[in-house]
Amino acid sequence: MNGPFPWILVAFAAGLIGLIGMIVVGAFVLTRLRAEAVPLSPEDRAEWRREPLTPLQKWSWAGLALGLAEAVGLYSFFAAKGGAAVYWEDDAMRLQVVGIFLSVQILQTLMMALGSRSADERDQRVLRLAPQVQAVGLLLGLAGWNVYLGQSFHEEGAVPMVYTYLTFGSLLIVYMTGWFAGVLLGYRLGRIHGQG
Amino acid sequence: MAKAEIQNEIRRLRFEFGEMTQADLAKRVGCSRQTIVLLEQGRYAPSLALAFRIARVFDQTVDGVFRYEGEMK
Repeated sequence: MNGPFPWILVAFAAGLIGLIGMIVVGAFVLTRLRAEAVPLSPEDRAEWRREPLTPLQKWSWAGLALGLAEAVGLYSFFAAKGGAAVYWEDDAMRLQVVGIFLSVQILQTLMMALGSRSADERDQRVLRLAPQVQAVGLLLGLAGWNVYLGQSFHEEGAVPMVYTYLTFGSLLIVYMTGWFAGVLLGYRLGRIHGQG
Repeated sequence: MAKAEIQNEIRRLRFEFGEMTQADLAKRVGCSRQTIVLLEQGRYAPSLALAFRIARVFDQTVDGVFRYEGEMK
């Protein structure tokens, strides 16, 4: 075989296999959970909707909304300004992005602390699920970046430096927002399985 | 909806204790009102510590408030 070994294709294939693996594992877990769940009657479903939200739940909804707004906002900002190359060269744009990014991270950290502060024993059970959702989110994010970078820079054989920062920043957004998503998923699964 | 194996008399006891609200009981035992709601509906099995705290509020033993309705293995 002529030319350098195509490592980028190996990385791309690994990312793809990882992504398929996660989808298979996710489908397996969801199928098992569904099989164990007791179906809700219409009365139970109506009763479930009337239940008050815990403080942790309220903060989690707010944190999730903030994280999603941050992701959409930053993506739109990048798209409007011209993308990663402009970010790398434009100091003003970089400052704006870092400012938004850090502000949201600090706000989300405060929301986590406020929500966790009033957590009772049932909330503590729910909190234990959050890191699992964060881990899945991070793996999916890494796989996504792997596929995107592999596809975009296949010809060049090297990835520009700016993407190391963007990968880290985006995965941190996924990590923080995944915590709130994990908490809300925990309440949902807890209800289905009768463990609160 | 799935029912927990542990059922209880919390709702009746609350009314016998001067119509204590769910929020009052939650405050006294250190949990959220939602947890009390789910307990009364029999959809949450509390920890032993929470069961003891609830029983103490109503001057009852744990047996007087909670009963096990699951099957013996």
